[in-house]
This record gives sequence, structure tokens and C-alpha cells, in this order.
Amino acid sequence: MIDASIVREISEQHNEPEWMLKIRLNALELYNRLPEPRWLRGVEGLNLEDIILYKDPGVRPVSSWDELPEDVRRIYERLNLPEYEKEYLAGLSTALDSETVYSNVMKPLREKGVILEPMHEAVLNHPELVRRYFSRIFPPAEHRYSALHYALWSGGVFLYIPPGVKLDLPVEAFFYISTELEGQFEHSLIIADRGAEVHFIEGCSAPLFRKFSFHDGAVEIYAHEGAYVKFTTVQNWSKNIINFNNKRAIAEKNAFIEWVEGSIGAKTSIVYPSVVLRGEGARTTMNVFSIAHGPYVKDGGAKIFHVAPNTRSTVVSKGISADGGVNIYRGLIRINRGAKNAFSHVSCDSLLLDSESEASTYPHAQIDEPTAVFTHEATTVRFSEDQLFYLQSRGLSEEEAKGLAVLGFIQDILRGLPLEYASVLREVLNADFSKGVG
Amino acid sequence: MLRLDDIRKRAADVLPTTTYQPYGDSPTIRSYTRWELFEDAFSGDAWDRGKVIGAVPVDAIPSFSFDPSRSRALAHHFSKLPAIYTWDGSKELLLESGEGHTAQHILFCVRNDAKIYIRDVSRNSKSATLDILVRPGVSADISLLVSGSAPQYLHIRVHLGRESRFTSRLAVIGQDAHVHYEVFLNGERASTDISGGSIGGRSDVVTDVFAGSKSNRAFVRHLIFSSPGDFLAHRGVIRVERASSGAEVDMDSAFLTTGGLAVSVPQLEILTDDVVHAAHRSRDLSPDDEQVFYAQTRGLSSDAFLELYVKELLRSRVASLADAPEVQNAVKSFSESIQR
Amino acid sequence: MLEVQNVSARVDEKVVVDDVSLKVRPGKLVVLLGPNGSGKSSLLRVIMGDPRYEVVSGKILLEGEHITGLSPDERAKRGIFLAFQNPPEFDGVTLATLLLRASGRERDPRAFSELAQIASRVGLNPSYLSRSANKGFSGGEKKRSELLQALFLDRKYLLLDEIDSGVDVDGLRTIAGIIGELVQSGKGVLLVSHSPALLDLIRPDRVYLIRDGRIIRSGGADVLKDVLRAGFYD
Repeated sequence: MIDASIVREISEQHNEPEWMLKIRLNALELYNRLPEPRWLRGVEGLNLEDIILYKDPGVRPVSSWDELPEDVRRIYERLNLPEYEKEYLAGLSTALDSETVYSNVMKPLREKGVILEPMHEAVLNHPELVRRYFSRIFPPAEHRYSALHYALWSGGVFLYIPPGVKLDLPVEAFFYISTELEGQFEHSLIIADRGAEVHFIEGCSAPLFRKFSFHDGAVEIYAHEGAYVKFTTVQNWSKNIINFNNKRAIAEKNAFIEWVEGSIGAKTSIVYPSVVLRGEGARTTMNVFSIAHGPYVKDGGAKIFHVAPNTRSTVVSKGISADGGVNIYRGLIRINRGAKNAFSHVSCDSLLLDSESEASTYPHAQIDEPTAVFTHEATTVRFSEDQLFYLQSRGLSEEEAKGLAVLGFIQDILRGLPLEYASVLREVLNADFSKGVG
Repeated sequence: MLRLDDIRKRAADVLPTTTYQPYGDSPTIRSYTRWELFEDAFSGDAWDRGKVIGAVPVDAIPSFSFDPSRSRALAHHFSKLPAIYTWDGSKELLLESGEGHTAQHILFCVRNDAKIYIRDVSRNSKSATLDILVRPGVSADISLLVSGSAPQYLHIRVHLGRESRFTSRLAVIGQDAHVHYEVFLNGERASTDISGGSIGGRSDVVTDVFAGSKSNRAFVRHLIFSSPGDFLAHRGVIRVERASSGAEVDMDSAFLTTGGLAVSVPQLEILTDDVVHAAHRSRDLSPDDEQVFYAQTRGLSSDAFLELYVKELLRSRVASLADAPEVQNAVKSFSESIQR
Repeated sequence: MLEVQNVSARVDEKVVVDDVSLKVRPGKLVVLLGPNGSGKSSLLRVIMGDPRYEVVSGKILLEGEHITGLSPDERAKRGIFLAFQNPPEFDGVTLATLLLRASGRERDPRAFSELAQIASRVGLNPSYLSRSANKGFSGGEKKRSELLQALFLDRKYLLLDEIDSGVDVDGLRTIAGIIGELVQSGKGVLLVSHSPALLDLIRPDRVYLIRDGRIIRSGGADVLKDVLRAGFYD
């Protein structure tokens, strides 16, 4: 049980209006009432409440570069990032140079009428706008941990694009309002008004080293008629973290939501991005990949709801398991009656790199519309001895060969990422699989 | 030997703590079977053994692989089970229901290649558990027709020894039917081929296969025909165990819908990388405009083609069961809905 | 005679057949040439009655009868066969079942062996008759399947859409031979082709050149020679 006083304190700290406090308290009540989700794996034997409230952080914060765990340090070194970025990622500094960020990024956005501010500020500065969407896209009652999120949320980014405004440069909120995205329960809300276009990049491929061990964040996205929102996140939380994420997007008529979701790190990750195709002609493509390298559990998937006619969805999911890793895909495609001529194609593949690893796929298709067209295919493949031998005969070590197999396997998804992103990701994967090599 | 009254007692002891289904496999999925109706059916006092023609009633059985604590349906069923039977090799098995709720348990010890036909003729609610042990080197083939307007619970567990084989054709046309297969490929080179169809009504078919040895092969195919008012689900896990090697597994879950609900959940759990082939797919097999046009250019009218298409697809899944009059009726009404 | 009189047709608001007229007489080979996207396939589909095409003007006559309002199977039964450029694949309906049912010869004991004989003749392994129609067939095998069906169903007029693409040199000779025989036996054949290799092996009685949905030139075999020499293919 979590006490209401903690929730009130958070609300007071941020001077929140009554309606926001009410959302928090209702959510807290839900959290205390809802049962522990029994479908969760990777959290057995843990007292989540202890972890949540910092009673047992599990990790000592570092105060110098040398105190970082060896594998994390090595990866940063390989990445060849500028010094200040490395320090930032390692949690050794709190923000990037805000002056540069303001003049190069924030000012031009503001001139276009774009609102990009920390979530708490947006609640105070644009209450009606925020209130119209907050918690209405991803409901608190979805499960126990989404309820918890809404009770304790703090930090996060609010992004609003006015009608017709098309942003050609991606919004890498991570670097611009960085502190807001390092929270445990951060909540981001992205709204693209009619005909607007934006590419929002949430995470960072480079490994993140954080103080907390349980992350329960949320992202709500609303794309109005004709809008385009591309949401990219590659999460590489350090291996002490249990990552829980609640993400949903709603697409109105003819809107298009493109989603790239990658998960490399974390001890246990439970993320099911979902999209509701609410308006006629709305579309979405979701590219999801996750790597469970080591005795970790990655539980992910994609959920898509076709509610209107002529909606289209494509899901490509790639899961890789190595060294005892467990990769789980849980998908749901629901095509409601009346969603005439809906089209959905899901392909979900798993790559097992060795005999200790596991891959499971649980795809649900609930089809209630006769004119819908739906296919789902899934294959589990292994990295065979033949392939390994072949690559070794070209001079690659076993680990390097595996890294190459992984990159090849997620080729299609890499193509959808911004260039620098993809190259950092490649480096990270290579580094991750070359642990044994100096 | 396990006596009937021991079985009943064990089940009655665990009944209070059982649930019908562990929580679904994701936050938004609950249950595809209306377990409340089964609870009503199981709660009555009038239990009947019905008629089991072709099998021998016994007081004790040498083998019992069911675990009543796993599901409330099993706990109920075994706690008031009127009789147990063993099947001794007769060709045709006829299970008939009686008055009240009919419950039957049959142990099959398959020592020689065998073909088993079960036509479940039920007027009232019914639960049946089949425990099938297939000796090494032997093939067992079962043809099952499940129909009835009251809740039907059918649970089949198959244990396959080395080089043995289990094949099955299933046709389900009931209202509130729950059919659960659990096939254990325990021996080297044991294999299974399961195919079936759900034609109209309301049913939840679960096909689970566990490959635990060397070079096991498992092919599962199921097809749903759902027209307005129907509620049909096919689910199933194929699990390739860590101890297995060289497994070849495939699940094909398909559906044709003209307005009812079709749920398809083919699942894979692969616990080792030593697999030759592991895939599943879920797809709708509605004929597209191009296929219809093509058939018309050969001289087949659109209605004639659709009827042919549905019939051939059904036969590919349920083989000779397609000739049963109940199945023919059900298919006819589905064909009519697709032609409209 | 199969006659197309000033037919214009459109699909999704776009006009793909523009005021086209042509005739196919029994025992004659008519060739339709044109670059990609010129409307050749569309025209064949319009003649066959594909519901996706809306005929906005003109008429199609078969032996003097107006068939523009008839469904594709009714046109098929009256004597037209369309060999598809990209035959769709079927799951569950075998090639044999499809043909026996379409021809109404399911109960004819000789029908299956006839099918097997024709299969061998067109170079398709008879085992393909028991497979789901076209499923997993290679490009060349799909063409042979179309030819097999054309021969078995024995309709008076044959519309062949790129029956040669994906077929090897030997196969082309077989196809050319079969087309020749069909024409000799009194069938009217409208052949759409893109390949000089096949066109070299046949002798058309009439040639039409189509571009952007309109017939831009028509004549005898000399038109074919000119076109092949000039190589108009984009």
C-alpha cells in the first residue's frame, strides 16, 4: 500500500491544479485495489514496493568516472562520444549546455507556435490543452502499474504542434530537456494537431546509468486528422533496472503513426506500445526490436485496435535472445465490427543465439469484421553452427559473428532510424557482443 | 492402480482452490469460454455416466495423467465422476449423454495401430477426459465430432513414446464447446499431426503440443468458419523444451469470417536453439476478388466457386468428418452467408 | 466473331481503355502489342467482365450477342477464356477440382486422365493437378497451368495475357506450337505479348498497337515486323 500523503506531496511540490490532484488520487485508489498482474515474468520474488520507494535502490550513485561499472564504461569509451555527453549519460552531470540548446533549438520551435516544455510547466501554462488529453489516451485502469504511474508521475515532456506545422528536424527531447526524461515516472504527452508533422525521439541508444531500479513511465500521443507522428525510442537502460512502460497513440482520420521501439538494456523490460486507429483511413507501422542478452527478460509486443474503416497496420517485431536471455512477444490485433476493409499484417521473428536462450510469441488476433484482411507470421530461427563457422573462417570471433548476425536480423528496422541513431546503435550492439574482446 | 473413489476424493479436496483459467496471457485478454455456464452445469447434482459404447467400465485404472488442481473444470469433473472406462481396441467409440450432466473418463492404451472415431452425441451438458497412451512405434488416429447445444468440455491428453504418432481430425459445431488437446512428444521421433475446424456456434479450441525429445515433429492446423452471431476461438502453444533437439514444429491458425468473431492465438515457446523449424501463422483465408474473378473466367459462377472453396478448405482440415450430416448442415449455412 | 466496338472503360476514375475497337475471328490469331501500362491487360479484363472496370461506353459482342452486362462466368460459358498474366494462388482447391467443377465434368471418368495428358503436353507434371491451384508454382509453371486450362476447357475464343513471360526457349516453342494448333482448329486467339522471342515464332493474322489505352495502329503481319525492328518497348 502506498500512502496518499506521498501523492499529495508531489502534487503540492508542483503547484498542481485540483483536477490533476484528483487524477492522482483516483489512480492511487486503483493501484491499491487492482491485483498484481499474474502474467508478468522477471519480477517474481521481488518486493516491488520496496524498490519503487527507494528503500532499496540496488545501486550506489557514482561520483566519478572510475566508479562506473566496467562494462558500462567500456561501452561509452567505444562510442567515442564527446566528453560532456559521456558525463551526462553516466549521470555525472545534470544538463547539457542550456544556452546553446535554447538558441539553436527552442527559439525556432517557439516561433512556429510549437510548445515544448517540461510536463509540469505545461500543466500550469496550458491547463485546458493538457487536460483535454492527459490520461485519456492511456487509461490509469489498464493495469496496476499504469495506475501507479498516474499516482506518482513526475517529469516528462509536453509537445504540441499547431495545425499544419511540419517539423523537418527531429525533436530529440532527450537532449533538450534532459532532466525531465531521467525520472522514474515521467509522463510525456505529444499532440500533433491537424496536418502537423513531427518526429519525436525519446531515448538514446547509448546505455543509461540511473539511480533507481524500477522505471514506470508513460507516453501518450494524439495525432489529429491528417497528422503524422513518428516516435522513435531505443532504450538501453542499465542492467539493474526493471523497465515498465505504458505507451499509447491514437490516430484520427487519415493520420499516420510510425513507431520504432527498441530495447537493448534493462534487467526486465515490459513494454507494449499500442495504437488505436480511431479515424477512417488512419494507419500505423510499428517496428519493434528487443535484445535479451544475458539472463534477462524482455517482454514486449505491439497492440493495435482497428476501430474505423480503411485502417492499416503493419507490425514488424524482431526479438533476439542470447546467453540465457528470454524474449517474449505479446501482440494483440483487434479489428472491431465496422472497421471495414481494415488491413493488418504482423510479422514477428525470433533469433536464438545459443541453447540457453528462449523466445516465446503470444499473438492474439481478435477479428470481428468480415471484410478485414489479416495475416500474422512468426518464425524462430537459430544462429547455426554453419553460419558461425562460415563467419569465423572469414576472421570474425564468435562474439563478433553473433553481433553481425544480430545486425543482419534487424536490418529492416535499422533502416527506419535516423542515420546517427542507427550508427550509434550499431556500435552499441557490436560493443555488447564483443565483451570478451579487448 | 488408482481407484475411482480416490480420484474423486483428490479432486473434491482441491476443488475449492481452483480457478477455471489462470489469468489470460496479457492484460487485455480474459477468457474465450463462458465459464459461468460451465459452473452452472457442474454445480447440478444429477450426474450421469451416459453411454460409452465400445469401452469397458472399470473400478481402477493403471494410469492417470490429469491434475485436477490445474483447472476448476477438471476438479469438478473428477470430483463427481460417475465411472471410468478403458478402451480395449474396438474400432468405433460412441459417447452418448444421459440426463443431467454427463461425465466420462476413458483411458486408452494404444498397443497397435488404431483408428478411433468419436461422435459426441449430446443433448445436455457434458464433460469428457481422454487419457491416451501411445506405445513406442505405434500410430493412433482419432476422428472427433463435437456438437451439442449445451456446454461441452472435452480434454484430451496424449503421451507419445518413441517413434509413435498421433493424428487427429476435429470438427466442432457446438454452442459453448471447450476442447483442449495436450500432446506430449516424450519419445525420440514421436510426431503429431492435428487438424480441425470450428464451424459456427460458440467454441474455444486449445491445441497444446510439447516437444521434449529428439527429432520430434508437430504440425497443427485449425480453421474457423465464423458467420454473424458466432464466437469462435482457436488458441494453442507449441513448446519446444530445453531438453529437445532437432524439433520441427508448425502451427497454422486460420479463419474465414462473414460477420462473427474469430480469435486466433497461435503461440510458440522455444526454449532451445536446437530447432530445425519453428513457425506459426495466423491468417484469414477469405477468398479475394481476384480469386473469384479467376474462377469465373473458368466458367464457375461466384456462388459455385465460394461453395466449392469452403467445402474444399473444410475437407482439407477435417477429412471424412465433412460428410457427417451435422457438419454438412453447418457448412451449408456458412456457405450461404459467404455468398450473400 | 468476338467484337469490341468503341469501348471505353475506367477503373477508379482513371480511363484505361479509350475508345477501342477490334475484332477476333474464329481461326485467326490477333496480336495486341504495347508498352507497359498501355492498357493491354485492362482491355482483356474488360472483355472478360472484371467488375473492377466500369465500361462507360461502347459494346462487346460475342457471335452478335451483346455480352456487356454478363458476369465473367457467363461470358466464360458462352465461349471466352482468359489466361491470366499473374494467376492467383489458391489454398485448398486443387487444380483438378477447379477444372472438373468448372467444366461440369466431375462425374466424367475420362476427364481426369484427359487432364493428365494435357498436363504432360504443356510440360506440367501431372502431380500438379492434385496440388492447390497455382500455389507455390514457379512463374513458368503458372503459365503452363493457364495453357493446360485453356486446352481443357476448350472455349471458342482465347485471350492470352503474356502467356510467355518467365518461360524458357523450349517452353516458348511448345507454346507457339500450341497456339498454332488452336488457331488451326478454328479458335479465335487474342494474344498479348511483350517478347520478341515468341512473336518471332508465330504468324499473326492481325496486329493492333495500343498506347495509353488507345489503338494507335492496326494492320497485318507487317505491323509486327516494323514494331520488332523499331523496338518500341520502353
